[in-house]
Amino acid sequence: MITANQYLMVGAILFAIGVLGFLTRRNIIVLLMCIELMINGAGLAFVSFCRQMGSLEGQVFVLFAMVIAAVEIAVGLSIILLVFRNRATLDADEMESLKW
Amino acid sequence: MEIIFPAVNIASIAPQLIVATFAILALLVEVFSKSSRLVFATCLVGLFVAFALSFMQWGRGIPYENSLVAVDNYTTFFNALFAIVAIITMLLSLGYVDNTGIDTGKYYPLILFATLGMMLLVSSMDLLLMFLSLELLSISMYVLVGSQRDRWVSSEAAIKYILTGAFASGFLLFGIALVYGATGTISFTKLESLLSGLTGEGLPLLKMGVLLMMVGLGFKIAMVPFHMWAPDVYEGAPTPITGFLSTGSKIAAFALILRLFNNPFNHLFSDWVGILWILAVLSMTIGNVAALLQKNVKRMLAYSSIAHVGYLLVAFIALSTRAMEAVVLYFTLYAIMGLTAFGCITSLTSGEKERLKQEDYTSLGYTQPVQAVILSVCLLSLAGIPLTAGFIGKFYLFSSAVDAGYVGLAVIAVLNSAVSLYYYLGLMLRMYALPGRFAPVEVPVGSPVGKIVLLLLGFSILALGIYPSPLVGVVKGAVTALSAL
Repeated sequence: MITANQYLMVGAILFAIGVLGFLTRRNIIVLLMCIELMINGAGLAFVSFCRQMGSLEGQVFVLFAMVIAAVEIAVGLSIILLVFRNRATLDADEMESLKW
Repeated sequence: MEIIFPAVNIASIAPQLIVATFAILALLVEVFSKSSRLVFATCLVGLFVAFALSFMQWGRGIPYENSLVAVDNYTTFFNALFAIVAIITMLLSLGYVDNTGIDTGKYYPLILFATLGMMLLVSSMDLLLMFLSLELLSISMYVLVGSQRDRWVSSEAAIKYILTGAFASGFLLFGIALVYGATGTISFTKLESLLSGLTGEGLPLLKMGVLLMMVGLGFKIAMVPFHMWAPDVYEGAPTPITGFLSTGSKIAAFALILRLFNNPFNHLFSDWVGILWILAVLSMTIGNVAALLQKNVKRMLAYSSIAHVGYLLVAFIALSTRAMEAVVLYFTLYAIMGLTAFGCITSLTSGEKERLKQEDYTSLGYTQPVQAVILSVCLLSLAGIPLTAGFIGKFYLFSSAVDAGYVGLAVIAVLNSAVSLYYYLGLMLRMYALPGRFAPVEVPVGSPVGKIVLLLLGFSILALGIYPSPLVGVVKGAVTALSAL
């Protein structure tokens, strides 16, 4: 029997994988994917808390968070397109004209 | 299943509704008429109406036991402030946007959407509305930062901003999930009553949640150690948007933190004093020392704005009514100073060339006397020289910290102000250095409207430095609403 706590653990692990991936990867599309992982980990945590407590607010929150994640990805991808058109690269290490 | 509709008082959120309506209207105008002047006019009218409505709402708080939006003097004050910040940003953008390849039809409505996000963020009484309005603000800002499509620095700033910003929102969302898991509610009023009695196993979860939320919000206010994005984004963004970002967006997130720690998370604040003490010192020191080393003026002002977050944290740690007043007063004064500084850089743009390097400002006082005088007043005010608004702001901030017993912190803050004098005055002296030879005068593109706005801003810096009491009175009224809950 899978308990709500186990779902919570999966959510936390997803979030942690997202954070680690964001900090170690270089390709900016992969960075956006890592952010998606973080948001989905948080979503899973919300749903499992809902299950534990039998309240609905968390589920509503997840629906909104999914929309926000989609919007972020839409804007993010269009900015990536802009970057690619300007420089033809997706490597985060090459975004270095602004530094001191 | 019966659904009970809540009683909605639409008039109570009229300023926010007006901003939203006019933003959508401006987008429609853009589609049907293609006239950027008409879009500009629509947006400006919307902001003026919103300002007038929030002016009329002053002093008429509405009780909000079950509502998502707090309508009190605190909200109303910030609604008016954000409307003014947006109006000034729009007026300063005139002339600049047409010369630097920005699509004006989207630019002005996006400023309105960002303003709506700020207004709702400060008024939210619920974690859901807080998250949504923060995202509305951030996503509009990502697009605005990248709106100079032909300039590489603008795109680079946008990609850096969206990656760090979305990363921070991930932390915020997970933090909210943990807070919800520990308490079972997302409403600020319920959180406050639950938190006073919370013990046992929910408490570590809640503390972890608040920590993650503060990581997310710390990114938005560019507090050390979450400040890395700020200099890059401020440097690359279109200059009027840099001003908007460093004032509006930062103030909105900070004002929300004030509300969070005054109402729902008040019981947890004692855990945070030590951490915030260190973060305040780090923000001030790193901001000021890094600003000393900058060759680019926008980047220098970016680091100085990180230092100003540190000054705000100095008073925030006290969390007394007096300290809250000092912080809210400084928000207002900093909004004026930030907009003036970046506004001067905007209006000194000639053609596509901006004056960004320190060298570009040598002997500027002889070729562009008006902007040079206004920028000098603004720099003196940012440094905190008496008879300017910045001095009044810093005086209130540091004295409220001393009152609360944080003398050491106040001393560090004053020493930091002394360090900051070096780079502010350095730029000012450079502007009035005697020229070896007179360079040919370049005609800046800044519109006359922008110049008039800058003159008014410069005048208000001096006026508030000499006679601040009316503003202090209004700020007192706003803060009373915050602590009255």
